[in-house]
Formats: sequence, C-alpha cells, structure tokens
Amino acid sequence: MSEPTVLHQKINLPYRYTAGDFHKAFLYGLADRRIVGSRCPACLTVAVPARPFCPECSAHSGETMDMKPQGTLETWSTATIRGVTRTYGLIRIGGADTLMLHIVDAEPSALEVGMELVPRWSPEPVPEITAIAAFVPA
Amino acid sequence: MGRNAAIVAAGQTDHVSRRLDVSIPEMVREAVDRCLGSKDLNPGQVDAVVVGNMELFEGINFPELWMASAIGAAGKPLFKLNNGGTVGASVAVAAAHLVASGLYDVVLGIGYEKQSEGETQSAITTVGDPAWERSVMAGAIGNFGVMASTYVAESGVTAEQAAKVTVKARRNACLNPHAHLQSPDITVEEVLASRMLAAPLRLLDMCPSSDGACAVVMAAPDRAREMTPRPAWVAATETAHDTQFMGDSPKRLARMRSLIAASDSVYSKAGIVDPRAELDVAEVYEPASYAELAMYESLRFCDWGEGGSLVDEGVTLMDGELPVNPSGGVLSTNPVGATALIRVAEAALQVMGEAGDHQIPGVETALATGYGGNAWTEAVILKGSAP
Amino acid sequence: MSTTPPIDSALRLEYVADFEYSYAAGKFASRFMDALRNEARIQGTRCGVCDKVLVPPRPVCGLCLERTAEWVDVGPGGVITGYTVVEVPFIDPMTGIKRPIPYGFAFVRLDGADTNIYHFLEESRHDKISIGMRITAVFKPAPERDGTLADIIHFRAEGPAADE
Repeated sequence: MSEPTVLHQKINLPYRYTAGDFHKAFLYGLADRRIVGSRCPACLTVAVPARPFCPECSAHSGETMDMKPQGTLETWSTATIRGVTRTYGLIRIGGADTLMLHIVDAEPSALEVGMELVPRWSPEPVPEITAIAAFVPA
Repeated sequence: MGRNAAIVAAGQTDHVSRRLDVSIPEMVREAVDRCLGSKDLNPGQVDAVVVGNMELFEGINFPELWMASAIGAAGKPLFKLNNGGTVGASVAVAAAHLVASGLYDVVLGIGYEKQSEGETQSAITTVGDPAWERSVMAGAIGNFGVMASTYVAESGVTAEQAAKVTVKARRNACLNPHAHLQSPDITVEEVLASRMLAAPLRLLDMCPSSDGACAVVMAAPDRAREMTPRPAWVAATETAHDTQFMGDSPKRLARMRSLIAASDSVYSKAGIVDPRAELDVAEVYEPASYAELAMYESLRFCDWGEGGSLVDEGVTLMDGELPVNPSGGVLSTNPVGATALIRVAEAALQVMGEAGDHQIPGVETALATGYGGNAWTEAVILKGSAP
Repeated sequence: MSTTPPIDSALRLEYVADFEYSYAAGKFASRFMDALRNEARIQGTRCGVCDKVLVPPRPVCGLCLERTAEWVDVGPGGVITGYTVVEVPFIDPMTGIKRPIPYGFAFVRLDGADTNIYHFLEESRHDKISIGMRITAVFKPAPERDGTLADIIHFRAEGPAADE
C-alpha cells in the first residue's frame, strides 16, 4: 500500500481591476479626505461608497455627493485572527441608506449601537479604502 | 421538453481589447441595457437571471453577488454558471430550460468577460488536474496547436485553407458594429505571414482577447409574442461532454466527440436530416481557424476530411450555401464568458431578422454552438416558427 | 489642494492572487507516483471490457463505465501523436513565473498504452518533430524525484540523434 500522495501547490495569478467612474470618485475622494456617496434618481436611495447602480432598484445612479464625514455604528464584532485583534463595524455614513464595513479602533466595552463615529485619516492621501485608518468614537 | 421558449431580444457591448472606462458590472449593464432597450423592455419584466463567465480570468469571487444590482437581479432568482468556454451557450440553454419548465416566464441570460483584467493563458492552465495535467499544460494555445497538428495530419487541410477562415471572419466582422477585429483588406498572404504562436497556428489563425458582454431575453410563448413580432424559437438544445483527460483521444478536434454528439442530437430533435441543406446560417464557436474547418466535419456540413474544400468552394461565405459566422465569429471577437452566448444571440438576431448589415436573407433555421476546450459542446437550433 | 486626477483617467489597480492549497491525489495517483519516484516506472490501468490501457491510470474506464481490471507498465518509449512548439510566453500559475520559450509540447502515446499524455519535448525546432516519431522519457535522477509528473523532465527523440 503506497503512502497517500498529497500535492502542495499554488495558483499564482496577476490581476488588474478597473474601478469605473463611481468607485473611482469614492476612492479619489478618500485621498481628498472626503467620503463620496451616490443618490438614485429614481428611488432616492443614498449609497456609500458611491456606486454606479442603485442597490435597491438597479437604476443608474445620478450624481455623486459628498457625505458628512461622520458615521453611526449599527453593529460590530471583535475578532482575533493570527494574534491580531480587530473590531469590525458596519457604519451608516452621513445618514446614508446603506452601511459600510470598516475597522473601529476603540475598546469593545466602549462601543454601543447608535454611537457616533468619525474617520481617523491616514497620513498618506492614497485613493484606497485604507485612506481611512479606522473609525473612532466622536 | 415542457412548453416552448423563444429569444425575444439580444444585446451586446462593442467589444474591444481593454475597457478602461468601466468596471465589470458597468460593462455587463451596457449589454443588459442594449438587450432590454432593443424591445423597450425594463428590468421589472424579468422574472429570473442567469449569468456566466470564467471566474479565474478576472479573479472575482462570487461575481454574481458583485453585480446583482447592476443586472437587476436583487430580490430575484439569480443563477450563476461557471463552466468554461461553453458557459455562454450554457446560459442560453439554462434560460430556455427555466422557461420551458414553466417556473419562469421571462429569463435574462448574461455572459461576460473582461480578459484584460487577468492572464487568460495562465488561468486556463488551472483547469488541468493538479496531479496529471496542470504541470504539463501549455495554456489554451499549446492545446490548440497540438490539436490542430492532429487535424492537419488527419485531413490534409492546408495553411491556406485555414487562412481563408480568418479572412472570411474578419471581413464579415466589418459588417458587425460590435465586432472587435474588423479587417476589410485582410488577405490569405497576410495570415500566412503573421507571427507563429504555436505551429501550425499563427497570430492571425487565433481568436483575440476581448472585453465584452452579451445578454438575451428568453420568454414563454405568450410573453414572447407580446414582446416581438418574430421571436427566435428554441427548437432544440443539447449539451455533451467528453472524457476527463485531453489525451484520451488525439483526434479530440479532428473528430470532436462532444460536438458530434450534441449536433447529432439537436438535428434529430429538430427533424434536420441534411444540416448543410436545411440550416440557413450557423454561428459556431471557432477558437482558431483550423478549428472551424474541423467543426464543419464534426457538424456534418461535409464528409470527413472535406472541411478545407468547403471553404475553398465558398460554401460558408456570407453569400454561400450555408453562411458560417456572418458576425465575424470568435476569430474576430472573444470575450470568453460571453463568446458562446454571442453565438446564440447572433443566431437569434438572424432568425428575428435583426442582424443589420450582416443579416442573411430569409433565415428560418439557425444553429449555434458553444465550445469548451475540446471537452464540452452546447448546441442550439433556433427557428422562425414555434416548434 | 486636490489630489483628484481628471475623471477620465482610469483607476486600474494591480495585484497578485496567490492561493496555496493541498491536493490529495487519490489512490491511483499515489500508486503511480510511488512507482515513478522509486523505480522510474510509468503505469496505466487496463479496462477489462474494451481492453484499452489508460494513462493516466484511473479507477473507471470513462467510456465502458466499468472499474479497470489491472495495472500495466507502459513506456518509457512511445510515439508522438500530435505536437506543437509554443512560442508565446505566459505565466505558469504553479510558479508565478514565465516558462522560457520556445518549447516543444506534444501528445505522447507511451508503448503499451492506448491513450496519450501531454508532456514537453526536449526538441524545440518544429521541423525536427513529426507525428509518429519515436521518443522516450527522460527522468530526473533518483535523489531529485519527488513523486510528481515533473519527475519526467521531458521526452527526447530515440535513436542516434539522442545519443550524448
């Protein structure tokens, strides 16, 4: 009886990702320390991050809009992965109809649903989600 | 088969090498808007959506979740297929089955690929079994090269005959505003002088890499008649596989078992005895010039070994006895996950009389095929009158 | 001061996806790989119904739908049944780097087998390769073999031309 053959392999592939105008507006907005959303011209749903199609009714989004750089914590969880403990929150930005996932930098015992959060900006103005280092209590 | 189903609308993007202006969901939405817009339909009339692509080509996990809002699928049944080059035709067949079953009256079928966002030759290599084939594969191009060599040995087809297929495709493409490569002045000599990629295949023997999407609406009989005066009725569909390992037969292209099985089945279901005489047009998934000639044989458009003669005689030209790929085919346009759906969509446009400048007059019966790496075939027969 | 570039410039992000995984190759591959690593032997399995010797070895004949009956030694010699020379460079996803071009790539029917396997050829000149040409497996030295198909480096032409 032979030993089971177990192959240890990898799949290593390079990719490119084209953001499109609405995600680009959101990401470059972050580099400007603005949080950009979009409003549906049909059902008036406001979504953050800005997106090309309404998440509710699928209509083409109208214009982008700058959101108040403030959020409400709707729910959160604290997870320890490979020794790193982080709190992830779903945050309603500037009264939008959607929630955005980001890191919340605060003691879990200090968090409450409905509490006000504000972004803590990274020193580097990059067009990436990490331009916001974390949300922290206002 | 339950009740009848018909394609009532088709739309596609203008296919190009790189769409830098749009994200994948935005590109797909263009095809959906063009499809629905062609018959003044709206997303609210769609009961269910089927979408397909090659996931490792863009590296997006759960693409159907990612684009649900873009394709109007939020809150609706959404089915994802992910089965290789044939996926677009599988989308059409699945949409037909969903309608025929009576479960849904109107189904939107979508195929797309943004090849510029990944490495196609590398990603396709991952289809090989990790133990047996992956470490000894050479992308799609190496596979096609080996398959073409066996077809040449089997049939005696010449490089000139293969080149005529490319010339036909890229000239036909000039009549199709959506086609990626349009070459009005291309010659056989130019094909024969192009760079060798994997002998006998030269650059101009091969399909391009495209960014693009395609969508069709499949509807139940009463709805179809409301939506368009001349629907393209699904007369027959079939899907057929070959065995697991490429090397199980060296004639996997020369005598393509899954294509023979699938086409024989749809001919039989649609009552077609002599496909060359009874089909008015065919849109076949030809990944390479040599492949189209081999497919003529497996599709029984001619006898074994006669594929080259068929193109020599002009039988498959736009004005020939049986035009093949008046759209310009895969040799002109290849956004992989959309490619096989484009075959079905183009066949439907021909039946509906909406193919524009590449319309073949008086099409009553059309064949479309999907192709998945010499291992899988989908075949669809569309007709101008309900079966 | 705004860092926002003109809206018509594409935002195109580049990244590499690198997945590591383990794959249990199964009983038939394990037996095959053991013989390849330890004895430089290549084996297939014979279908008891159609009598065909299938390489890679497999538990069931895909066309007869019956369990295969026995193990059979095949090769290391064989013939080329289809071939090409790949002149397009692309990334090998198993390494993340491009394989050097050109390289010969072929269907090989090993002596005693009824099916073909894909593998590489030592020869990369197209006009030196033909269907029906006899070739033989070139194995890695025993200490370097690790029980994968790469224990066969490639196939080389049999006969005087292959002498070193």
